[in-house]
Amino acid sequence: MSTTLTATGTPVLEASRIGKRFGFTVALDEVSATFRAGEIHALLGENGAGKTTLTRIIAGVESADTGELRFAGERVDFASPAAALAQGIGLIHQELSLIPSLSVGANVFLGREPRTTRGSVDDRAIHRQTSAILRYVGASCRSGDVVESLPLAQQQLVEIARILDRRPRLLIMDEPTASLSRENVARLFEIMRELRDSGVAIVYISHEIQEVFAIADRVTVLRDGRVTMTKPISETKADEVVRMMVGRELEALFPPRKQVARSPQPVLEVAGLSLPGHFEDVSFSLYAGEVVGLAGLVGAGRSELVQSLFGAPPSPLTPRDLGGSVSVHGRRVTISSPREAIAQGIGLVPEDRKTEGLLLTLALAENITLPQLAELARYGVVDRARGARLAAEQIARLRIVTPSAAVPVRSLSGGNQQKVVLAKWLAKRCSILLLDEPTRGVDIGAKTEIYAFVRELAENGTAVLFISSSLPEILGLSDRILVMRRGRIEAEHEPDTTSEERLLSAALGLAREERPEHAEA
Amino acid sequence: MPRPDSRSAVSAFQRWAGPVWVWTVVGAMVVAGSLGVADFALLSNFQAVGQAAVPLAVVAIGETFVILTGGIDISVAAMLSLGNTLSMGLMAGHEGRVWFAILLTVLAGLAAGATSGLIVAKLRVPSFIVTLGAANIVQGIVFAYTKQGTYGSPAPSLVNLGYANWGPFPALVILLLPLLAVALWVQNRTRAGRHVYATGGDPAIARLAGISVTRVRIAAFAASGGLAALAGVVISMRLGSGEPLAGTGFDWDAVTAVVIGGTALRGGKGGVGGTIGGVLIVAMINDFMNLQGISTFWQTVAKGIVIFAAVIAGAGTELLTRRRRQLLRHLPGSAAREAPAHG
Amino acid sequence: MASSSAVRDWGNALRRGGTARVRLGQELETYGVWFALAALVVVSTLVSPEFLHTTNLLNILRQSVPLAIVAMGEALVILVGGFDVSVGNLVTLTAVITARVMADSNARILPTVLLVLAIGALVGLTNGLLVAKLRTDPFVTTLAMMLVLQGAAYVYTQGSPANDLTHGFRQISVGDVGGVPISVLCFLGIFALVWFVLNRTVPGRRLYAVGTNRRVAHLSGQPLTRTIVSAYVACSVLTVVGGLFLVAWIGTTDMSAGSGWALQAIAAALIGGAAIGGGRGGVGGPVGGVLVLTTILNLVDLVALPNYAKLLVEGGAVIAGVALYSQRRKE
Repeated sequence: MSTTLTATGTPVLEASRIGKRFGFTVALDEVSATFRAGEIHALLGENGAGKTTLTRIIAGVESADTGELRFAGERVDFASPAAALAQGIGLIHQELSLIPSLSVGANVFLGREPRTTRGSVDDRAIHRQTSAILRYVGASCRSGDVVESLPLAQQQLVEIARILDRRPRLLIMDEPTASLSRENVARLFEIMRELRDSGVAIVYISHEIQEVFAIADRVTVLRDGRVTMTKPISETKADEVVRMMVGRELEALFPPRKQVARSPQPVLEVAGLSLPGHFEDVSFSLYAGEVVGLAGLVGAGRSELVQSLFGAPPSPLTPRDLGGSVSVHGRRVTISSPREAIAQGIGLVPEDRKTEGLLLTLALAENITLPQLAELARYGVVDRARGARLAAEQIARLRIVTPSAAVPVRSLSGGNQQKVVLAKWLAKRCSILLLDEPTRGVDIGAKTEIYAFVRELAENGTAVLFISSSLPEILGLSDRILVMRRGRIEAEHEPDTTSEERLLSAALGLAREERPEHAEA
Repeated sequence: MPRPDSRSAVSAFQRWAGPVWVWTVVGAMVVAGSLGVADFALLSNFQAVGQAAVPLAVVAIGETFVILTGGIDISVAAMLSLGNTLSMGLMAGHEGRVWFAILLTVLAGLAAGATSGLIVAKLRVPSFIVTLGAANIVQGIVFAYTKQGTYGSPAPSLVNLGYANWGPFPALVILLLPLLAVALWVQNRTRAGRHVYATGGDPAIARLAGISVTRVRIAAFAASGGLAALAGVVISMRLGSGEPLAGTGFDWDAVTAVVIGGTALRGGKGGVGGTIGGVLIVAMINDFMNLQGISTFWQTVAKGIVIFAAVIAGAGTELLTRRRRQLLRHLPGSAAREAPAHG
Repeated sequence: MASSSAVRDWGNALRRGGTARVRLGQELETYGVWFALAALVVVSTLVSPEFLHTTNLLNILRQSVPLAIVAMGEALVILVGGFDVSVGNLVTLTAVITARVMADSNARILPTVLLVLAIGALVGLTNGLLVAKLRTDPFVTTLAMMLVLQGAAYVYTQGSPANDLTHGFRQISVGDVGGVPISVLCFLGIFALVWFVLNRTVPGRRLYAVGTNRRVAHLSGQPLTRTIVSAYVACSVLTVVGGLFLVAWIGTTDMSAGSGWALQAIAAALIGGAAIGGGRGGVGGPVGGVLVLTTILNLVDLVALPNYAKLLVEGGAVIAGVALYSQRRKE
């Protein structure tokens, strides 16, 4: 399938005024961009800036609420990625779209198997063509290998081969290098340059700023769903790009910090904690009464770290796979389940409240009292009066807007749902609270309230560790900030002496000098 | 890194014939039976095992396709009874109606299977419940049709075909070969076959690749229904009449044969070749026990234990592979640590 | 109907300042099944004048008791996100063992009952541990168990019918007190107990939590394995109890005692508001589902339809339950 390629510089895809909302969150706000033939166009932005949403809309995975797409001058609206791919738009992303139980060749040609004159699938042609494209991308696997038997890097290369074999005119690459080796990355860059020179338009998303400056011709920066800059790469520098990425607007108000005298002994002490494939040699301490922010990019291992501290590392790994040590109140503990974590006074507000935090179809009261169900019972019979009182207390304290404690949590707004998740752990009176993106998908009013509660908890002696992808939030709420990158704690910052740019630079690996100056003993 | 070519020879064998270990077990059973079981190693006994295995093989081939898509068809026993009584009723001993009866019977099975498939695919409900319900309805229809008694009779040319041998080979086994060839061809050589594997492997990804998962599922259930009805015709050659309960036990036997034959219940892995090995294993277990005078009661227990073992082994390997893959992961981005030089 | 009984329970407790009052009607969460039953009663009365006779109605109740107990157990397993298709053959095994071991001796009643209950607990434990610990598919796991139980029943009896049961034991199903069948009274006691455990105790609430969302329950400190295993054990033990009532009802037994019961129990649970995948429904709805099934089957008898019409009814009920289920999920 050969495509007539357009001359260098002519627009291949024009997106104009694309808008997309997810609930409260505006993912894209009138975004316009032009991707040209023979150009590698880097798309940069913080977590949640809208890069991935934009590419998913272009590739037909999702549809835009407003705006229009023009592909090769014609207005298009793809119903599916298969339709977009057939037209010449290929999307390579981190989530593999391969069938694990099929062979490499079957995957490369899935849904478009060539046939012989007798009507059978032409496996020779598949083998020939797959072998050629695998050689081209520098993969060492073979056409006949079953995908699930391959290491992740080879699978990623198969994914790349699958898309490249369609000879797209617009190639979108969303962090394609994350699991690749150095040689693979070098080969991929060669291929990208070759494709560019033959007139393909390439959209490239990466968190590796150095990589971007090495390969891209043009860069567009997104922030809060808006384009903040688009320039030829030769006219900009890394520090300008970082500056354009940060500065997200946040109207919510932060409560004032109060200096609480630090007790000599940390409440939580983590030393050399490791989990294969997720994080390595993580050490830090958490003191009563402080709020510690955990900054970093998505995929840096932050969620996996707090989940592991809570006794629930990502499946199928188990707490037995953890290396290193954890001490609570100075006593070394082995936390082998959330149950034990809760018994140690730890609470976790997970990243996704709908699938991890709440029993959506059950009542508010039942959700709030779930972590202490057993304590609410006498001889196994639940004391519902006490449960109701407990729930009522939390509803009043957190000002949860609800007709009663009996309605299913599903019927509440996002902000109130998030407060219910918090209420679970407030009711339990945890001494260590782990918060994973506690204000995601929450309106500004509720955000302000949640910040106030977190601060109030800290003042009452709780130690809080919170993950956020919003740098203003990290800066506004934290007493100390840890920056995580590629599964390691790279730096420790003080909110008064750092800035969004410095935090982002650390998260991106641009500023290596800021090592933690005192290894928390 | 180059690998020895034996690897691709093994994988080609597996595509057509199923897992090597299934056939190793079959071979071991033949050897053990010949040495340890009196009367096992007689040609007449091998012929009898082959004749008895064919109806199950026909049902199990259809069941394989359903399980490959990630479903299960519990209605095959009732479908077999339907095929058996309907074909005998239509044929009623007339030589001239043979093809007409077979054709109509298979069409009825296809239609009934497609209906189950439609409900499964459109309502997205577990297939075992749907086919359990369908089994009851079909069995009820069979009873209504036959007035709960023996019904119809085969044409003279079909009578005794079930016990005949052509040369040293049972006639039924030879008649099975073209069907097996077609099934293997569909499985390995057609787009439809490939899409069956994709649907069972990951329906969401299959859909993204432009495959109509709904159509694949309906087709698999239709094939299963049609083949079960055809097996009903085959069994009439052994029974010599239409029996409303001819299919009893075929549902679990078919599932057992497919699972022993290496097809994963989660879908996406395995195939017809292994199923034939599974059918032979089931048939030989039955034969051993019959020759040894062990009651059919113990055979049921044995099948249950075999399924238990298959389920446990499957779940165990699944857990292990997922764990191994997790443990082999790099740290996020660690391999691409340094950016390549400019240019 | 989206909200579970628990929703209302908590609400009631709250509104009345914590005075918990048992309100049966609220537990019968899917009113639909009761409307269906009412409509069915009206139709039956019109079709057959004999239907409303006290003897016939009491007969329906007596007949419903064994299946209703099994259906409650099945509902618990479905509630926690599983399935148990081995219940039919466990009923058969219970029946044949009871008939053999107890025979015509009143002194053996208690030991026999304890023996079959222990067998039930063991079956449930095996199913539950495999499903919860090894994460095997519940359907195939209990299917294998079904074959083992079926084979065990055959091996045990060598296929021959059993002795007649002692009259004392049969009273639980055939006797009555002041015109009310003893089995119905026993059932009410069992129902109240299961209802209380499910709605008022820690293990019961855990079934809802784990069934609604395993991960959330786990991250809230609830034990998954123990909860799932307890559901399977409860299901098997209730199935044995149902089997005891059945064998007391029919007096003697053969291999077909529990045939089709797995299907009927699942159908009753689905008609009664359970949802495949778990988290929804209670034990009241499935009882209503059983009454609907038994009433239809009774009607089939009354209007003298051939026996196989029952198969069509059962199959139709399952498909209807499945269709209802898919509606329920789309909400």
